[in-house]
Amino acid sequence: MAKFQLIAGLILLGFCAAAQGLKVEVEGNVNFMGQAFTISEAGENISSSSTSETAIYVSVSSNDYWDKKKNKNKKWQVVVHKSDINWHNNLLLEIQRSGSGQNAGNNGRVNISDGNSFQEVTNTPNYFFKGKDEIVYIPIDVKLLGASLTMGAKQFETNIVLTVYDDW
Amino acid sequence: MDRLVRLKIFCIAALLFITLAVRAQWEEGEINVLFSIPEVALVDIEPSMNNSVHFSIVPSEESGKSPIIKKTTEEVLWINYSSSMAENVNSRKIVAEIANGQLPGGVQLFLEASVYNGNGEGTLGQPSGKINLGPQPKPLISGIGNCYTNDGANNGHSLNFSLKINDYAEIRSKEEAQFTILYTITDN
Repeated sequence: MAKFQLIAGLILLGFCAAAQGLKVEVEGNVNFMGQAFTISEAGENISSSSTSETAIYVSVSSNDYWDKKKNKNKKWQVVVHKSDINWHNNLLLEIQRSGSGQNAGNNGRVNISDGNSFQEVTNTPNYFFKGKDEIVYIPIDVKLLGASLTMGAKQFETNIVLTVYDDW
Repeated sequence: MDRLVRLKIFCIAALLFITLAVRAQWEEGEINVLFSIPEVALVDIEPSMNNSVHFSIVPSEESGKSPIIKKTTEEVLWINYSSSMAENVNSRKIVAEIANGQLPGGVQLFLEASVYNGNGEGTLGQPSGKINLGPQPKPLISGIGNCYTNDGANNGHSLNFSLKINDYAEIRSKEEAQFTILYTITDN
């Protein structure tokens, strides 16, 4: 009987554990392919600074049914880093939050702060912004710096990783 | 200690650990960043308002002496270029040739590029020495890699033209001979 109780308890807690995660969802992609990489005069370099021309939205939400119902002011924070696939040391990426997004239930004021000026994205995680409750469609700008013809004609790729943590 | 009690203690400890870990549980979202630097091969001549070079050949003041060659334009021409190469290309060169017209008989036109000057970046080219311009392209600057010279006068390589009479028998009086010098940046 005791064994049964323990196993049942473990299973129940396992379900609770699985349901407690916050998640980040990203919509859109980064596109730097516009005017920035065209040259009108011989002798010039490509523009060393370019902001993504397409919209990127980040949503922070919870999988946890009980959090959704009973813990609406759950605090969280998002940290950011990048994971390089084919990158160059002279390339810099910067990211900012260009808006506040919307409350997921559309039922009140959005509580979000920080991250509203460009900050460098490095290979180590850095704090980006924080908020309360579920917030969706947070607009994000990504800026590329340091691109140059001296890097040669090739493709560069990295992933910007946004991670949400409980904010204690 | 009873085996069941030990199991209970272990399970409770494990649950506490899981619960704490779960407080910090996270999920990631990724933004893929993908872009390409295009292949670029551009060359031009500056200052571009007037890129003409004029020479005149006038008789000497004393009979029996060779005619005098005068360069009548003062402006220095500069060659600018931008280059980014595909990974399978080692280097590029700039070649020069006479196009749209021809040199008058009995004279040779030489061209030499200076060493690079300016605040461009990358693997800039090296002058190939003085070349005798003709209808066939000849290398003027070689060893160009991924680079840019910067735009405008005083950036890149200055161009030094010189005219020489090589056959007096072929010199004829002529009002003016015009021709174009064509510069091409090309893969090696």
